[in-house]
Amino acid sequence: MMSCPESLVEYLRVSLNRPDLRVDRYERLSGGAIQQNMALDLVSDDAQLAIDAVLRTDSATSVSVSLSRLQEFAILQAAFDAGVLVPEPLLKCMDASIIGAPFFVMARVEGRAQPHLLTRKSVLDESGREHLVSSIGRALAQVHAIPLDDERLSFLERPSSTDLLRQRVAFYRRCLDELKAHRPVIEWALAWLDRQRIRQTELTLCHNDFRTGNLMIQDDTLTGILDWEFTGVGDPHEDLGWFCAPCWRFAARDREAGGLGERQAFYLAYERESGRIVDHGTVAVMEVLATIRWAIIALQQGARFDSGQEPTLELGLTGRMIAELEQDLLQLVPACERLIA
Amino acid sequence: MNSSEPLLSQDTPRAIELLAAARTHLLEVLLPSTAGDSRYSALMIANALSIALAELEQQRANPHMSVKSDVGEQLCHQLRDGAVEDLFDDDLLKCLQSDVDARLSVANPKRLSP
Repeated sequence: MMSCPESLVEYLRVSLNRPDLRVDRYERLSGGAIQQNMALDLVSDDAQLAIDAVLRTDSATSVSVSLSRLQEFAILQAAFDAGVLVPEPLLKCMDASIIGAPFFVMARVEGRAQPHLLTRKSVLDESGREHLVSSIGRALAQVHAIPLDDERLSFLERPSSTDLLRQRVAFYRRCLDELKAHRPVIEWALAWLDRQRIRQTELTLCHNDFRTGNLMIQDDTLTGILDWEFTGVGDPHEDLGWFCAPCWRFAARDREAGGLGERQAFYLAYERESGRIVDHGTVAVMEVLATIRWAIIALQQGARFDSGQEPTLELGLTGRMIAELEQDLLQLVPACERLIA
Repeated sequence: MNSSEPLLSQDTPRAIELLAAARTHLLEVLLPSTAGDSRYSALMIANALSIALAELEQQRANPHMSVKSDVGEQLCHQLRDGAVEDLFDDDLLKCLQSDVDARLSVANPKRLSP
């Protein structure tokens, strides 16, 4: 176990007004390449304070599209106050001298984010799966209901045009150009996407990485939504498409709601909570978009490996996922074309 | 006899057979004693070995396969410029599918179309 920096212990004592605070555990949790998550157990001598917390800060590598830790904290606060299932945000620190970068602390949530385990057959029965995807559908609707006029969210960029699909296509073409990547299947899918017209939906807050791997689940219930670093404003169908895209179902490709359960139960719970009808055609288009997005991320990660910046096995294998993502596109695009024709 | 010329001896087992043995050893001997993060690491290594093996086997079966071609790049430009009218043209789809199949058979043969 690592020892907690004294500067951090001092900072926590002052912020929480607990001069007798101790850090009983300070351990790296498995996390992303962009952020570092530390498990932090806070206790006081009089046992009045006993918080199992998580400290979240930036890794050495950061990605320009992701929000700063302080912006993410603001979103967690807005989400928590709106009644959304998120870890309770406890405190933030803008002073980089404490541990080397700004950070925030949130309460730990019960459950686990284990997509490989959860998508296996034997883990839950039919009714358990239905209960689970319903709780997820309801929670996503609550995410989309977070008020955009919340002052704390004023940093969020509003889309400059109403034609989100065109914006996305242009953005992904630029990404391919920056990578100097020639990918006929992705260009083909983008050409198809460029010809689609989707019904305009009211813009909402969107999580933008709402997938099984970012959900804390206990038994058959959602307990917390994690990783809000890509949050933005957009068409709520984009979140639905990301969650239902085949590339995020792991081994359970036939369970269309995140590899966890049936799409119908997920949609129904979402519709009941949001009061909005899910446009099936739009979600199908968004699943194509989701697959393109993940394919481009995979190419970017492969490029990081190739450049020598980060030649880790995980990045290398992600780079080689591109063939199966292109296979997904070859299957999804004609299916979507048939659906919306 | 010209002793300045390299003898070019080759020992066996060769790369493909060594990698295959390494993969088997990893899965049968090491994996059962791992759990959690270690197990995940071992599975990633096995995956990388599978890909490397399949790539070497593909090269062995196609020794004259050219490494790069301009055709894909040209197709990309045509698609980007909107010069391809029918995106569901049979020949186009077959061409894209066969390109993906060649790479899938190395990276993830389970995902090959039936």
